[in-house]
Amino acid sequence: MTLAQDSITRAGTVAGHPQALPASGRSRASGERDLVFAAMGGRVHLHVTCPGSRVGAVDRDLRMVAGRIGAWAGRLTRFSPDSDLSALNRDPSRPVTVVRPTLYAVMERSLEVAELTEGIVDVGLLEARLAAETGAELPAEGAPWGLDRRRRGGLVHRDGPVRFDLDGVGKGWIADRALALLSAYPAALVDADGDVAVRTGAERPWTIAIADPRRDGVDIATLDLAGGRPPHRLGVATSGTSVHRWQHVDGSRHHLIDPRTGRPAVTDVVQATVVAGTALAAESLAKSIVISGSWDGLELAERAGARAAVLLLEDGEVIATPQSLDWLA
Amino acid sequence: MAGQVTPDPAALSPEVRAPRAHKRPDPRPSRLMVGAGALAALSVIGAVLGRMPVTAGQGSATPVMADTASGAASADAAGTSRVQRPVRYVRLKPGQKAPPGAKVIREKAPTPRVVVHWVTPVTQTVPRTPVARTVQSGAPR
Repeated sequence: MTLAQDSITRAGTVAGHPQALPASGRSRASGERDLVFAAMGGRVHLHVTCPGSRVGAVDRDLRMVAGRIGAWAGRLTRFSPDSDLSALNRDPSRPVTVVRPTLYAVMERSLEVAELTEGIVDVGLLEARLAAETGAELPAEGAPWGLDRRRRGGLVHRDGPVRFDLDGVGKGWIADRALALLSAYPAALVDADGDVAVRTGAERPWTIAIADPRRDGVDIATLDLAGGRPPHRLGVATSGTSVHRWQHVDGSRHHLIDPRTGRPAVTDVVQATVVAGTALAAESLAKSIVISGSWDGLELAERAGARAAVLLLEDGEVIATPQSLDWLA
Repeated sequence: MAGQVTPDPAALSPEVRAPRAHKRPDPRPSRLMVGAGALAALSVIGAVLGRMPVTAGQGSATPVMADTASGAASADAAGTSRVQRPVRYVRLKPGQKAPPGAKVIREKAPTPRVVVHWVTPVTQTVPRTPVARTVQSGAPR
């Protein structure tokens, strides 16, 4: 396998093609192939069942999908100055900006996600996110913005200064899109650095562990996305405050901004994992639970149709919704 | 020491500091007047509040949410799809009015929440090796 080894930008985000990781553990079982590579600042894992397929053809498909993921990530990252997102952010006060189809599609989905999460997930909060990281004074509320679809891509309207951070929205969108590209396979899994899109096959269950952020290599629980039913699509994602957290003179700050306050969320949830219909929905709802706190967050997730939710609380307690019992291994 | 003030012993004497005993007026009439005044003020406030217009969501103990920017899509004159950003939701306190033009959504009544608690990691009984691990963004794998 020869994959282009392009330069890795800040935070490991791959600009352009993905970088293959050594010892990817491909072909774990008979009739299955997988590919692991670096992208989106982390590790991406593609895995398909392919009974009776030619191995060479399957590997070609996996490499093609890896290439598409690298290209999408290259357009949507804020860590590369050449990305479409960086071009949009370059002039935050520009009233109208033309954006290309990939970025427009993700921006459009971000509005749907904002509705799904009742306004909690907001991609227009980059300034507050950066201030949380650097310790700078937290900015005033971002200006409203909107979209106009055009034949290819569309327009982003801004009523004042606002910069965007697609973050988990971009990652979830990429995982779902990559899974759609693997629709020819009976079952498939796309693990986009922890946000997982999966299609279960009639015979292939997928087992997905939920990492414990307090202890390396230990899991809080394991989800069994069972086969045996008609193939269906699911998303599993985790969000939390324990990884991206910074200590400043005025106290500790994390990266999940509550749009109602413009500040890092005050929450009793350290980490939330959600199972939903797509990786994007799962990622957005997991983030919403953390930002809203366990009580309001679980109610919101229930209203939004989350299939399962597993939470690690500040006091060390692990709780889950009753529906989660159907999914716990 | 120059400038030091020496206390006047006479000023500290118990004779000077002791309160003088004298006859105090009967406080009951003035207390009655204050009480009657407070009752009158409360009745006036109650009457004014009762005349205020009732908006959606008032008249019940259930709080409401005001969506100050609708997320609905609309078509402009050029026929393009315009999507406005649904941004701010405000939880209205009982009696508080929504701003003009805001969509008011009645919040669901809170229901008892049932959750499953456990102490030991469930992974102890995992039958299969997980094929993937979901983690927070940027966490070590």
